[in-house]
This record gives sequence, structure tokens and C-alpha cells, in this order.
Amino acid sequence: MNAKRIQIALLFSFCVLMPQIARAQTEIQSSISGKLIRWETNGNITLNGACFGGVTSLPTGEVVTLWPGKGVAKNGNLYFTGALNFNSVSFSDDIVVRSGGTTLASISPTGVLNLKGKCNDTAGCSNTTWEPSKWNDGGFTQSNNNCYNYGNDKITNTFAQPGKASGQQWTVISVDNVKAAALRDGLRWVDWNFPGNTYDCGDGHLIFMTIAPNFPPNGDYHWMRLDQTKGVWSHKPGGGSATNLDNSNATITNPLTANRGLYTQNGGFYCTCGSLANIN
Amino acid sequence: MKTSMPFIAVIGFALLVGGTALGQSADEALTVEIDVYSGRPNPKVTLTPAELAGLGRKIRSLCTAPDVATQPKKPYPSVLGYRGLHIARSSKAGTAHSMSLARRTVHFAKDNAPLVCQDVMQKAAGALYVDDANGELERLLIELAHNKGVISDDLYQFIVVELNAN
Repeated sequence: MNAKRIQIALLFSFCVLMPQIARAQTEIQSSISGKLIRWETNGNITLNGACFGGVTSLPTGEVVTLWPGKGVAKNGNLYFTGALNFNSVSFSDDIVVRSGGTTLASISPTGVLNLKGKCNDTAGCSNTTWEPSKWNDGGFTQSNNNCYNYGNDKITNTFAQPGKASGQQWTVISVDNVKAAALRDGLRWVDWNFPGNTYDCGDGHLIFMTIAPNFPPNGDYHWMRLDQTKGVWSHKPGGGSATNLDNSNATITNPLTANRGLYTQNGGFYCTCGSLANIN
Repeated sequence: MKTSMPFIAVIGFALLVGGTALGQSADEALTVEIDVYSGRPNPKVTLTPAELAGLGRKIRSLCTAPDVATQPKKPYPSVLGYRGLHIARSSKAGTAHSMSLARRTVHFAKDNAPLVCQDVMQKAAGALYVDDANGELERLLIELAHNKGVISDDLYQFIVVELNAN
């Protein structure tokens, strides 16, 4: 396998794209802000621990334009269905990956790969573990960190609100509004359906959002997280204790079927990046 | 919103006896957080000196009760819905957790307990828990928050139903 070098240029500050390339026949190496990009023998391009959340706005299954073939965005990754020949150092035209009118990536005729998006170092992203003592001090930490803190596994002592850290907090409680605010914070959309307790977020862990539309007077939201090391879900209701039980004192193996009290609406499943989540 | 007679009686009595006699300090403030939401910020109410004085005798009676324990009979709830009250105490030294009330159990933090209980807590080895059999203090504080317009009528009714169920 011959190594080929491809220069990486960033359109703005950083990049995010984790494309999986079909029928890869070679290996490339270059750097993105000091991070290694590697075209692996299994056909994946890996941005080595470098990127998270940059293509979160791509809905599952959206087809994006990729010259000369097509790509499919799924779960925040781009899957190239066309063959890309990185053995060649030049191309006849720009290869442009778009989502709607937004250019996400392009490969110039001279082989420069341009990636657009936001990039966070994911070195600290990992699955969560069930560790209630971190939250249940019966005092300051417990009362100042809510379900969004717990779901993201990040103590801020601010009773964190979706969207606040990214500049636009939710205003009216609804599935759409809280979902949009969480995506602005960098959470990655997964699905409305339960993806299972072995779902792999890659970087980070799986969380679930639910809405209580009739909680007086103006509704409320709630988050639960998958502690994948045990394969069960846990949550922290507001200033209450972190628990792995639902309102019926039953172990939560599927948040969609758990007793969630007034929190009856499905707000969907997401991936988040643990201690590096952008919340406040 | 109506003020109940028991609440008026407690406040009125306290104003008569005077807060300082019970150990309150002018620079002490207690902020009560009604722990009912999971995501959105919980409603909070800060007691005025008169309100604090009105509740001082009740708080004192709890921390000096003969059946105080070092462990709670029931843990602080972790359910979706109304759970209880967190109380933070602010003084010249800063703000810190002071008490919590839930399911008829009152928890006094070892440090930063209300001034009327600090002599008791200084002698205690750690946090103390005491039964408030009728949840009287919890109900008084919920009612106070309602009367001050901190919680809406429908949220107040929701909490009362949950209080009665537990």
C-alpha cells in the first residue's frame, strides 16, 4: 500500500467531517491543526480524535451532492457512495459536498481537501459510567446541576439550559425548540427511534430528551443518558439525586418505555461529548 | 392567591417575639428553591427578615427535636415531579447549601445551617435529619412562595397534590 500525501486546508477555523470512503485502495496522511488524518485500510478516513459535532445539522439519510458520485449523511457522518481515487494527485474539477446550499467539503483539482465546520478536541470523550456519588452530595452540586448537566456528564453548577452556551437558549418549551437548542450546543442527532443499548456514538455517549408539555404552567424538559458500561440508563431529575430508576422504581432499559411521569413526549436520541460538551 | 391563617399566625407571632430573640441576624438571608422541574430553572423565593423571623421558631424546634438522626430515613427523592425544597443561606461569608426538606424529612447541613440552629450544628458530628411529621415547614414555605406569586396557581395545586400523596 503506497502512502500518498494530501494537503488539508481549512476554510475557516477548524473542520469536522468523518467520511467513510468506499473501496479505499490507499492510505493518506496529513495534519489538521496538529491532528492526524488517516485513510485506513478498511476504507475509513479517520480524523484522529480531532472532531466532533461539525456536521450535526445533517438529517439522517439526507443525500448530499458529491461529484462525481453521491454521499449520504447519516448520524453526523458522511458516507461516500461514489469511488474517490486518492491515488491521483489531481482531479479534473472540484469535488464539492453540499448540504442544501452549504458547502461542507471540497477537494480541489490539485488535491486540497477543504473541510468546513466546527471542531472540538474529543480526547476526553468517552462513555459514561454509573457514578452517583459524583452528583448526589445532598447539597450544592446536587441542587445546582440538572438533567442537562447529568445527561451531558458535565458539572457546571449553573442548572444548564440547552442553547445558552451557544448563544441562543430555548424560549418556549417544545420538542422542536429544545432539540434545536441542544443541536446548537453541539449535540449530534441520532434518531426518534430507540437505537438500542449497544449503540456506539464513537466519541461520547447516547442521551435521550423528553418533554412534559402539561407540566404547569409552561412545560418542562428532561434528559436521560446511557451508561454504556452497564447498558442501562440513568438520569437526574432537576435538583434531585441521580438515579437509574424510573418513576415506578424500575431499571431503565429503554427510556421510551420507562415511566417518566408527566414527561410523555419523545424528544429523540442524541450523542454528546461528555465533559467537553458545550453547555452552560 | 390567598394567605392561609396558619401562615399569618406564624408570621405574626414571630414579629411579636422579634427575630433577634431567636438568633436571626440582619445579614442572614434564606433562599428557598422549589425543586419541581427537571430542566428549566426552579422557582426560588428569598425570605424577608420578617418571614425569616416568622419561621425561626419552627426551624429551631426542628433542629432541637429529640429524635434528630445522622442518617435520613428516606433519601431525597429522585422522581420526575415535585421532590422537595432546597434552602441556601447567604451571609457575609457567602452563600451555601443550608437545608433541604422532602417527604417530611428535614436535613440540616453541618455547615451553614440557619443561624437559629448553628449552636446545635456546631455540636453535631455531621449533618442532621429530623422528621417533620406533618411536613408543616415544607407546606408553609410552599404557601409562602405561592402567596408571593413565585409559583402559579396551577403549579401550587400540582405540588399540594403531590405533597398529600407522599
